[in-house]
Amino acid sequence: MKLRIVVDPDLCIGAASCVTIAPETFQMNVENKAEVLDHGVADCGPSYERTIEATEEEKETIILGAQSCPTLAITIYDEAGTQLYPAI
Amino acid sequence: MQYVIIGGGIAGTTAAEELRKGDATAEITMVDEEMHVCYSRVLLPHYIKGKVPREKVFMRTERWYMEQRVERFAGTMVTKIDTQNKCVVLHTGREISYDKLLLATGGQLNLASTDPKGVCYLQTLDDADGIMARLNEVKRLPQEQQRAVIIGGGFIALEFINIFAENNIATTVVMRGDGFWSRMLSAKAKRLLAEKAKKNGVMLLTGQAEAMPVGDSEVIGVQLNDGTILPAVMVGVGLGTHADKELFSEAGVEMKQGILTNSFLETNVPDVYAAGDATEFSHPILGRQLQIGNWLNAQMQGRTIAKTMLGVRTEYSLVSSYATHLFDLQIVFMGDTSPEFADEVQSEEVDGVSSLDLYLRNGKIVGAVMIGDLSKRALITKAIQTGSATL
Repeated sequence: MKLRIVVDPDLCIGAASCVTIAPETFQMNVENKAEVLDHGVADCGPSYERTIEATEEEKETIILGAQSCPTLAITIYDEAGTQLYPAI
Repeated sequence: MQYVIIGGGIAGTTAAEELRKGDATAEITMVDEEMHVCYSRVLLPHYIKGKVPREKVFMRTERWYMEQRVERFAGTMVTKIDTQNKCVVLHTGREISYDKLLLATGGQLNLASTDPKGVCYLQTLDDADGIMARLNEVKRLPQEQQRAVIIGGGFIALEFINIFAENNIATTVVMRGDGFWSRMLSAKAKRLLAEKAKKNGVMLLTGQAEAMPVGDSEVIGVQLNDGTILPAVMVGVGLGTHADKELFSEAGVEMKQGILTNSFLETNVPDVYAAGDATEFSHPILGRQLQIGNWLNAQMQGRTIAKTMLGVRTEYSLVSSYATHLFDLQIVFMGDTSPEFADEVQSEEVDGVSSLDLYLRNGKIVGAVMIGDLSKRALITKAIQTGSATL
């Protein structure tokens, strides 16, 4: 399945909890903000937003990573554009 | 099965969620001193600065508790834990039986010796609302009267500095020790932070163990060790927290600074567990019993302890970190950063704008504080997790 992962750098405080939980999907940049990776790789350069192909297990880890963010800076959408996290 | 959770913060709430996932029929009861549903304390500074609206601070909705069938007693205190009869007594007199009990109460604020109006804390959403209301009053005063004093030199002091700076309020920080995190950081790191604060117009006074707010109904300032009064219309207090020793000790739960547990977050009392800031747990990687007060630690302890309470005994071994900032200077704490438990603290400064303190015990890196340059963060995380002696 495809997931769209978006980080709001204005909300990100650099706690790096997402990196601790889902290091294949998130990494901190020099400004101490979380960027999105596609399976550990930043194709086409660093980005706060990326659409990636994920297995069911990977999706669970990515959502856990998003849930670990204390400032709700990470939003996850599915293929249809439905927001998976945070719940609305 | 009847699960009772004392505390509705992120540790207790995450545990409730995981318990429900693993046990569809259990009774889950949460006793929470807070009136509000679970919210992010980490977002409170963002909220005060107007970066996020109030509704965005909440991590759960009232509906969520209903859907998860978590019975939540809001604004309710536990006055007694009876581990013989396995029940807790609420301040309303009501008794609730448990099969398994989770203590996730977080820290209780250390208060200033006096707190007239204008003295602010920053632990709860109500505190944040109070700070915003006071800021509005202060902003109406002539600029020369807009003066604040901060008592403390840790995480909360830094948040107050950033908040007052945003509001263009002249600020003095009054600390007990000789700098920010005086018992933790190296002299180099403390100097770096002090310079950053001073460069941004913040005054620092160290060695002020007797400092206390003064004023009858409203605060007029902070009295220093020598009796001098620093004028202030707003005082931010960040003196840390402590665990509620009386309640737990009376219940027979072993306490030191926090609630003592093994690496499975089990207390000495059968069927009583702990998670979050109040827990002094044995860390299998860091190799000692310690308290860690950060969001990720609380959340992941909540998740881990739920597994154990559900019957799948699970060790907690996460090495968590926390980040904050002083103006544009980034600060990251990782692992065990207590010098009194370290055999050696290696400290280096780079170009006068960055510092790195590494805490070693038994020849292994167990903790780090990075200021400014955070490029070694991943390397240090790995070194702590693998028990490495060098980076």
